[in-house]
Amino acid sequence: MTPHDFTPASLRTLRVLLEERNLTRAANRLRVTPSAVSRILGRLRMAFDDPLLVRTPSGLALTDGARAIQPHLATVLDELERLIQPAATDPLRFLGTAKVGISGYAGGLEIERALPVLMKEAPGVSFRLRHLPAENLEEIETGGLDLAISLAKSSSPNLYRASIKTDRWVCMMRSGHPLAKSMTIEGYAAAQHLALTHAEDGRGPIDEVLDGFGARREIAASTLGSSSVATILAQSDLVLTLPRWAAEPLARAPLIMADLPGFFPPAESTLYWHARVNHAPLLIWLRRRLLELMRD
Amino acid sequence: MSEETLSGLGLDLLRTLQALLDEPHVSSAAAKLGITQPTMSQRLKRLREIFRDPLLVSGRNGLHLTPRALALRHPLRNFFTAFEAMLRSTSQAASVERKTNQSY
Repeated sequence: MTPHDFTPASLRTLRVLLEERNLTRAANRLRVTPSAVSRILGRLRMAFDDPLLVRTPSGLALTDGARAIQPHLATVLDELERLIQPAATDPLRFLGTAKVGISGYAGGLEIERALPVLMKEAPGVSFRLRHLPAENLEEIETGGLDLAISLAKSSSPNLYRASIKTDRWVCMMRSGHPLAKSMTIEGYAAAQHLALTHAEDGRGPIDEVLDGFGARREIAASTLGSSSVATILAQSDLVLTLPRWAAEPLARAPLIMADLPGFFPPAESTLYWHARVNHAPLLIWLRRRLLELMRD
Repeated sequence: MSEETLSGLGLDLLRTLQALLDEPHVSSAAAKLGITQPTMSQRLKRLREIFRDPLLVSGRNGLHLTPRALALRHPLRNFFTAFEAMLRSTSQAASVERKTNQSY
């Protein structure tokens, strides 16, 4: 028996041949020539070490071996069919889990709003949203996350990326906050800052820009939860710096949004994924939908 | 999937796939199958074409199976179970036949 004799095509030919017990009829059903069927039969006879079909006065008849094969052959072909079925590309038929990490700065609220839409489109998928503890992409590399949305700039060769959006940084605070009246670099640096990170020192992208100005701000508190942020700001003198798209959903009374002093390079959020999931239909769809929903 | 890509999926490719799914390590899977590295690379290339998926990708700690590859585990095991049952059925039939012939 050589492995080449068992292919989906030869096994399918055998199924039809055992049903028809006639080379010409089998060839017609398979839309091939009788000699092609005969050639495959010859190879299968050697592979199974059994004549499979033998001549009788009333035409071809199945051997005991062929009769024994017949029911199993149907199962084998069904299993083969199942194996080579292309992965589902219709979101309604997706099954599985999608693990998405998003940093607080990149906009947790936005993805929370996209979630009901995604759940309706792919009801068989279990979505696991998680805050990235920092702008850290390590978890995609280790397989803990399938996708990540972050302000980080990564050049890892294992990661694919798509830019989501770019906008300026703004500062959120309660209305009547002293900083709102005189927004200077000094005043900004001296304010009490809230950070959206679990990084030990609370430092984020904005601190690197401040370093360039020779300024330094103090992180008074840090948190990850996006919904709790509005309450914290309303009830304290804390200020929060974040990209405008992430700030806008929070910008209603008693909170205000203020422009930053001086020049801060814009924030850019990026969708990252690992080569591991680049071809997975569920994640191809999810990437496309996230980009559509979050770029709006 | 076209008939043409399908007909190329012979037993040798399916056994290669099974070895890679058991152990996502190209050289140990090749050793287990008793084939050379170039043959292994060729087969992996064919499998990737047939399944339209990289199946194995390099990550931080070596190769990782893609979701598509992971999803093939069950159907592949079922296929081999059915296939082996089919091969056994012919040899059983043959030995019954032989016994019958001897007794007459």
